[in-house]
Amino acid sequence: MKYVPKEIPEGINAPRTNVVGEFALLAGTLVALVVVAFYALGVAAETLAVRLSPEWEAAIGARLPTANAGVEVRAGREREVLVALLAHAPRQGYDVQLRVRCGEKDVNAFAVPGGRVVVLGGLLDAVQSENEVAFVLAHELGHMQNRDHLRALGRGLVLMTLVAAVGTGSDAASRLVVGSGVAVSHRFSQRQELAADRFAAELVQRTYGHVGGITDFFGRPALREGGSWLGTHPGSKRRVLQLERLADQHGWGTGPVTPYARAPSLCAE
Amino acid sequence: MSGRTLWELRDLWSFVALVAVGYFFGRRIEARHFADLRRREHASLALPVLTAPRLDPAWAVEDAALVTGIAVVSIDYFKYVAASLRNFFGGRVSAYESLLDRARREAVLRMKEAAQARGATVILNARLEISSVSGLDAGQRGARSAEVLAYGTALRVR
Amino acid sequence: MSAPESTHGLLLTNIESVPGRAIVEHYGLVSGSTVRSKHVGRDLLASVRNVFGGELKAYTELLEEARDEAIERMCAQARALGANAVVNVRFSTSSVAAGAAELYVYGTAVQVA
Repeated sequence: MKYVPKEIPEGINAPRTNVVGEFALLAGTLVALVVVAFYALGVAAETLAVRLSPEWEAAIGARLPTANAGVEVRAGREREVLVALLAHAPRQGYDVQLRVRCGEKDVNAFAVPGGRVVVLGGLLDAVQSENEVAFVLAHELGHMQNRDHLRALGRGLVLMTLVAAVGTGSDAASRLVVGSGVAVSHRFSQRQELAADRFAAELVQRTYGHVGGITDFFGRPALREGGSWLGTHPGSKRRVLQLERLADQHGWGTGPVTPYARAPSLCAE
Repeated sequence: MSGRTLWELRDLWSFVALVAVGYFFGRRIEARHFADLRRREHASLALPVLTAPRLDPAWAVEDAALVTGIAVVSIDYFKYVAASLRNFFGGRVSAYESLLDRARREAVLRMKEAAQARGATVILNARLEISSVSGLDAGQRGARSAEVLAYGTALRVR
Repeated sequence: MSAPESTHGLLLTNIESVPGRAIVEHYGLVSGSTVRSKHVGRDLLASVRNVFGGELKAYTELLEEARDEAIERMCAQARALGANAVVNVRFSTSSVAAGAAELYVYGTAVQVA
């Protein structure tokens, strides 16, 4: 038998494909699927989560470590502002407690399920008027009213289930799924933040008769930029814009700005 | 009350950057390798590689020895992501196909070149062993490189 | 479950020759390979199946598809060289990723009388 040398043609075992096109198609389809699935499941999860009774919510909330951090504030301007707001807010199923974490330098505040508003020391140092304090407290009351924590809990469970189904791996497809899921979750979260802002503006208007000074909070340098289009919170510009539009729409006016400074005795204990 | 600043975007950009770098450099390196393979295959065309295990009794064999060729070729990040996406949906994973083609052809060429260095005229009973080497992270689902070992008996026939 | 359909009319054996026919010319090593994957849904079902035991039909199918495609590619190479048979065929598989399989088939392309 004779050997006849011939060259094997290219492209049989490694056919030339449009790599970029295929990549774009697959990535796009995957992201689209996750976004659609998560939106649908997120809405469903939220609808179910808010059915939890206030008693259960309070019981869960009391067990969270953040619920008991810091010191409880029972007197002082901060407490007085909260009480004034509560008088004009819809009734909750529980008492609302104010706590301050004096050692924390971040400019932030949050509500814990079951009726606690926790304010970080950095926020009290950054704000310069009682109007801002009222806005921040009212915003947190808004989260409580809308039961945003339960919604976030429901969404978190859905996200975890989705990720577990796809396969926990550090490979790229899993990361893309997780990233997309988180991005959609953050859109929900941003919507909640804007809703809480609206609640806060209305509550401040009802309590004080005007909304002067509430947007000053977003201009405080210590706040820096607290949000981004992929983040949990919308950008400050967007939040201020919403508040201004709301005020225009309802004809709310500005009013006197009462200066505020944190009393040294607040964190003395 | 306020959120964190932009860490999600940073994560996203670094991912995109890695994929882009993988794409641009990977495609060029791959094209160069394939061109190199074609050139060397053309040069070693005279040496046949057979998978037959048995000798033709008519041959007068002067020299016989085991020759091997090994190649380990790595995937670039763009292909890694593309393969991972393809794994998700199912079907032909073309990213790995070209990787394996390169590694195999390289290994066979190296085996041939080893045989040519000995002055052999034919390689018998050629076999290939292929394995995939995963990344250092045990949690990786995809292979990062392909390792091919080609071996056969090189004969110098008068 | 049976022989692949498309071998381009070539004869395949994994012995040294095609019985009863003499080899006239040979063209060296030809090979075919393919890497295939099943989608995550099947992977999930397979994980469930891993608990109970039994044949993983989806993966069997996967390997069958891979086998057919790899053989077809090897025959395409052999055909391009003018061969009408491939002898001494060998298979090799490896897994390049969870849920994906690589199948490789190689042999010597020959012209039989």
